[in-house]
Parts: sequence; structure tokens; C-alpha cells
Amino acid sequence: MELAKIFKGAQFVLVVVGSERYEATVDSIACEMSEKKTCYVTLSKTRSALADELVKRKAKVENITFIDAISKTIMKSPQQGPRALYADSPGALTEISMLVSKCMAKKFDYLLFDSVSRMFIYQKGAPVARFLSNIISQARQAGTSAVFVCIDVSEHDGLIKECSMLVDKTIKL
Amino acid sequence: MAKTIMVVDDEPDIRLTVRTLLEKNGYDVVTAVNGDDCLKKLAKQKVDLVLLDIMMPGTPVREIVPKIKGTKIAYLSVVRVSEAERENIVRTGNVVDFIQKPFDLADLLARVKKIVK
Repeated sequence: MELAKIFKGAQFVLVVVGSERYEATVDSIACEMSEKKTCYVTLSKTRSALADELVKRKAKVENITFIDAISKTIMKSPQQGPRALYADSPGALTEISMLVSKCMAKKFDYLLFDSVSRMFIYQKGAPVARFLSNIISQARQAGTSAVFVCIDVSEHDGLIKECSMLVDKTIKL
Repeated sequence: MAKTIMVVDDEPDIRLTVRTLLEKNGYDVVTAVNGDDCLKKLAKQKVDLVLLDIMMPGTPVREIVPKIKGTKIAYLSVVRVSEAERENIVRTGNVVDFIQKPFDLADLLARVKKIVK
């Protein structure tokens, strides 16, 4: 789905996608966003894995700053990459929020959050809502448009519904 | 004597599926719901292999793994890593394999057999 369609009439969009289409959807959004200055928060892949994949897909990786909340979960000293900030774990919401804030101060065009579903492993309900509200508020101040990706899993229906109340638009693919 | 495998995953469906697969193939299976539960159970029982989910609530795996002494570990990971990272991870301590989720059951079984033979 094209970015222009995703953001039509909205600055903050929750994209709910089935697991079978999840990777292709995220990659395609990231590639399109990379035409401009983008902050990519990853709770699904390490920065290194993501960068390798995006380069293969001819994304302009030099335009992307990564907030990687995965590498430090697995490795004591992650392989440091350019334009990368590392959070301790996908559950470290305060730390991730602070890193997003650091990025938003540098005025990014886009923010891609991949994914809300992974966050549900660590946090549920109020903390997630607070976290998303905070990210949205920071992005709004910076004039950044954001996509929050969520995998469509029936057990998360309630949480997805709650998140959809915080964004301008929810798209189900 | 049957080899014992510990399956550590916060997702009940994964624990049940892997347990069923391994038991059907002659292994004894112990399950744990997170890293801390895994350590608690390992203190009471020796196992031949720990299948350890990478993303679970509670103590992160980077802190759990050094506490697992003398037992082989294979990661089960929904998280994607680069080839170079995979090689590094598998060379760390007693981590011997990195199995990407969603996994094929036949492949998982083959890898478990190879590790504990």
C-alpha cells in the first residue's frame, strides 16, 4: 500500500496486518519512507538485519535512523551501526520513548514503529497506551508523520482497539 | 535413556506444540514460562538441551544464558538477526543453534536430534 494512501487525511496511522503479509508490508513502508528522513523503531529485527534487508530492497538507508530495541536483548555488545540508537529491550518503554524524543528533536519526516505487537509481549494496557500517547505527542510537536504496525492476532483484539483510539486512522490490510 | 529437553517460551501454544512433537519422538520434556522459571527448574533438574525463546517478559536472555552452566542452548527466535550476528550468537558460550520462528516442525526435530545425539 502506498504511503500517500496510508497518510491520506491522517498524521498517525495504525496499520494492522496479517502475519503472512507483515514483513512485506513493513519493508514496503520502510522503503517508501526512506526517500525522506525517517526514524525506524525496531522491536522485531536487529538494526543490522534490517539494514541488510533494506539495502537489498534499494531503500535509502542513509536517510534512516534506527532505534534498535532488540540487539541488546540478545547480545551484550551489539555490533554498533551508523545512525543507530540502542534500547535495552522492547519492554524498556521509558528508554525507547527517550530515544524517540532525541530523534524527534532532529525533525524527522517519518516515524515507523515496528511493531506494537512485539511490545504486547512485555507490556499491556495502560503502559502501552501511555507510551503510544507520548510518542504521538512528540511526533506531533515535531511535525512527523508516523505509522505504527501491528500484527493482526485475535488475542490482541482488545489491545489493538485501544491503540486505534489513539491514532488518527486505523488501516486493516 | 531418553534425553531431556527444556522448552522455555511464554507462548503456551509453542510450549504445547514443541512438547507434543518431542514427546512423540521419545524425548522427556520439561517446560518453563520464562527465563527465571527456566533457571529455577534447571537448579532442580539436569537437562540435555534448553530451547530458549529470545523474547520473553522478565529477565532478558543475555542475562539468563550465562547462568545456564554445562547445558546446550538453542534459541527460538521470532526476532530476525543478520547472518553475521547469527554466527556470533551461536559462538557465544553454550549457545549451539539459532532457530527462526515460525519454524518447521520437521526441521526443529532434526536440529534437536543433531544437537543431543
